[in-house]
Amino acid sequence: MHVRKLAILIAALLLSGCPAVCQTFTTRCANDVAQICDAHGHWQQVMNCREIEPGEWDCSEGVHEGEPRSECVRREP
Amino acid sequence: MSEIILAPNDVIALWDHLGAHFGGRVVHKQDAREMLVIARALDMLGVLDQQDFLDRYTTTIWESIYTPFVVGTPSPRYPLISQAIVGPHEFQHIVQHQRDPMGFTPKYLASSACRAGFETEALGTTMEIEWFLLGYVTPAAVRAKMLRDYACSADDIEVTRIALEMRQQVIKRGGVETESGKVSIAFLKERLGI
Repeated sequence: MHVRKLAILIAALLLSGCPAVCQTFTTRCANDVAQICDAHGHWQQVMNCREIEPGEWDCSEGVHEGEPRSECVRREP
Repeated sequence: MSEIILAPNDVIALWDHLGAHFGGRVVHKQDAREMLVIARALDMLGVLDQQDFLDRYTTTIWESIYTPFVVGTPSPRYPLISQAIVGPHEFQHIVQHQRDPMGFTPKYLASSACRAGFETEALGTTMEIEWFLLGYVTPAAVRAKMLRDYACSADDIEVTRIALEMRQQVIKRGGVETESGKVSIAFLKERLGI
C-alpha cells in the first residue's frame, strides 16, 4: 500500500513539474551567482562571479538599457 | 586588439591539450558509423538534411566529439580559427557531462530550457575564445538565434540572449569563467608567448 502511494506521489510530482517561482527574463544575484529566470519560471545560473579569472569579481545589481540587470563586476583593487 | 594567427600545429596542440585535460575522444564524423545512422534518422524525420548534419555540425555525445573536419586541416567551412573556437566549446560540453554524468544527456534531450542553459554556458566559452583570439565577440542576439537549430523555444532563445549579454559584459572586461575557456586561454598564452 505504501509503495503504491509513493508511486502515485512520485508520478504526480513528475507530471506536475515544479511551480514557477520567478518572472521570466528577470535576473538576480544569489550570493555570488548571477541568475536568470528561465522560460518555466525557475532560477537558472548564468555565471558564478567567484569563478571568474583574473581578479576578484562580485555579483552586483545594475541597470542595462533602463532595465534592472544583475551582473558580475570586477572588484576595485 | 589584433587577430592572433594560428598554425595547424597550434590548433592540433590545443585540441590535444584539452583532450588530455578533460578526457574525451575526437572522431571525424565521416568515419563514425553511429553518426551516419543519426544523420539518416534526422533526415528521415525531416529535422536536418543528412549531408548538412555531417558537413556543418560538430556534435558531442557523452565524451566523444564528432567533427566535420580533420583537426589542424583547414577547410572553407572550418578554417583554423574556427577549429580553435569550436574545440573549447565542445570540451565545455564534456565538462557539463562530467558534472552530472547521469543527468546531462536526458536533460539536454528532454528540456528546451535545459538545452538552452547548457548551450548558453558553452557559447560563453565560444565568446571567451573569440575575444581572446579575434578581439571581438559576436553579438549575443546572433549567437542566441543559433538555438533555433536546436529546437529551443522563442522564450528560451530570449533567456539565452540576456544571459549571453551578461557574459559578454564580463568577457569584454577580460574575465573568463568557463572551465574550458580558462584551460584553452592559459594554454594558448603559453604556447604563443602572449
